[in-house]
Amino acid sequence: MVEDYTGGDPPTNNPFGGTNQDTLSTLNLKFHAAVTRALVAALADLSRKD
Amino acid sequence: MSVKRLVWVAALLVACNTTDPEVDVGGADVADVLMVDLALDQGADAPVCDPADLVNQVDPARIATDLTWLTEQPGRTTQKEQAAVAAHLKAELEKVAGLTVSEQSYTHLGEPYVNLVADIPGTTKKDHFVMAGAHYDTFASSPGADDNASGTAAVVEAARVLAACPGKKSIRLVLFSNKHSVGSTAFVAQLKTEVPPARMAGFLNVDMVGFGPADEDLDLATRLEHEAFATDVKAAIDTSGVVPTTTFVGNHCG
Repeated sequence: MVEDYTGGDPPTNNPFGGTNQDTLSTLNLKFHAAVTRALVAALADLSRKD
Repeated sequence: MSVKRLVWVAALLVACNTTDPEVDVGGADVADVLMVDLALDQGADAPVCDPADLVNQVDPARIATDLTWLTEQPGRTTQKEQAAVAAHLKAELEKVAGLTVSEQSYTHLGEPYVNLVADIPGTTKKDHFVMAGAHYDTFASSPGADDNASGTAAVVEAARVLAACPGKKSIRLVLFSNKHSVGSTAFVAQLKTEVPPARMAGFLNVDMVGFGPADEDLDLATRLEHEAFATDVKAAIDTSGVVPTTTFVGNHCG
């Protein structure tokens, strides 16, 4: 899926961002691990391209 | 609608950075780079290098340890607080065989700060780079779990996993002080003196990647001129099947 956000930032809905409520207990650790795997996958793939 | 952001900014944030008169990256400040070379362990105990299996080597327990440490600090905002965090993160990176870890020093508002740079040398194209990074500081009085312990922990764990299995090109991982504006401006100023743009595949800025429901997807935000790089990133992630992705194309500067 590709969406256009020309003129502004992409949406973010973490209501705790930048506040004293941005705590570890609010995180989705399963999702975070998946994102870390995505980062590894992307860098591994891109570093192998000519 | 997806809510997390793995923001990639091709061409090393150059398009987004403007000269900040408060960031001094010239002369002795830039030269103050401490290089710590760690030998790549190719001994009998070295892990088997299977690129297809790398995503399975991500360790949620290690990530949790990093997230806990970062969010339990008394702060990650002042110069002194950021220096303490940088020292800890540098020590963590220096434990990883196969990484070359350095500090990039700069001054901001008259105080010294460091970005941490960890390189995984490529096998055949060492002078070509794929890059990723995250800012390790946070807003005053905020534990900064999502913003941006999440990005920092992801980059540190990626360093641990990727260092054991280098690709053709080098991978440069960066942990920024002072957000992905001041810190990245200093990084780009230094980088532009070292690596021609043609040797930079792109940069992934990892920011606020820990919050969301169970079916959360990953936002990939890019500028219009870097859509081709974004397509490559999305293809790699989609092939891995680890998380659904949504691409946003617009004017965002990470």
